[in-house]
Amino acid sequence: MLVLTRRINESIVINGDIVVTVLEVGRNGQVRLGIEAPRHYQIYRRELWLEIEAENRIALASALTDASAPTTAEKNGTPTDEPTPTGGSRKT
Amino acid sequence: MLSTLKEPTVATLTIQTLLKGPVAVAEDQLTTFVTPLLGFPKLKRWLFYQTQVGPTYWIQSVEDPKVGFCLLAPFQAGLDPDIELGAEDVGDIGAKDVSDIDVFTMVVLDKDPAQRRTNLRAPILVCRTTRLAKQVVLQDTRLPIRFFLRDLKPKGR
Repeated sequence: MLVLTRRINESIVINGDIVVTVLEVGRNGQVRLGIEAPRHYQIYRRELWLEIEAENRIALASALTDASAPTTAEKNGTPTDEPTPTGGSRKT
Repeated sequence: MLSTLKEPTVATLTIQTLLKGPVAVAEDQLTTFVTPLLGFPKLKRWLFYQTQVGPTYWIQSVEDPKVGFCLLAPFQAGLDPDIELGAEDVGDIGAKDVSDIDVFTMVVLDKDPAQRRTNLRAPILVCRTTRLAKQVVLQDTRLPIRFFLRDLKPKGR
């Protein structure tokens, strides 16, 4: 990992078109960063990124399991087990 | 809404799908992700398909037959998430405006029905005319990453 020391209002430049500036350093260790980047860069807090990535992977694993099962919940129209509209039993 | 599988009219290719096995589709029926799904950086071309009419869709990776997802069309399913799209999101997929965009959300088909859920925070946007798509992460923290489908109320109630 590249480690750079910066003070408040000092910046780093990434790849020529992303500028990250230290705006504030709190006593609690919290750091506020300002990021200037072209719009096509997706910038997120890392924990959010990882959480969504993990949820995508869980979705894949569940789809593979469900696809191999004969009784896929998808047959109900929505991927959930909803009660029947009448809520009653059907006589045969 | 995206059209379901049609009779191919141009060059076709056979795609192995999770639910329907091999399917012959025209190239122009495929959807290309301009930025990949999070966690799947190498997969760009996908087939959207349905096994029946309703709000449930499936996407199948063209590049990897073992990768496919169940999706929900949340508005079709009766949900009304407050999804605000940035101009760059609309522009990235070649849409002229939001009316040209279909929204889908990733579904976790947990074995436990009570745990089945969908991610409203990171929807998939698809432009109907260009068939370009992307998964966006919305800034609105009120949108849950895990919306449990047991809380989905049937329409009209």
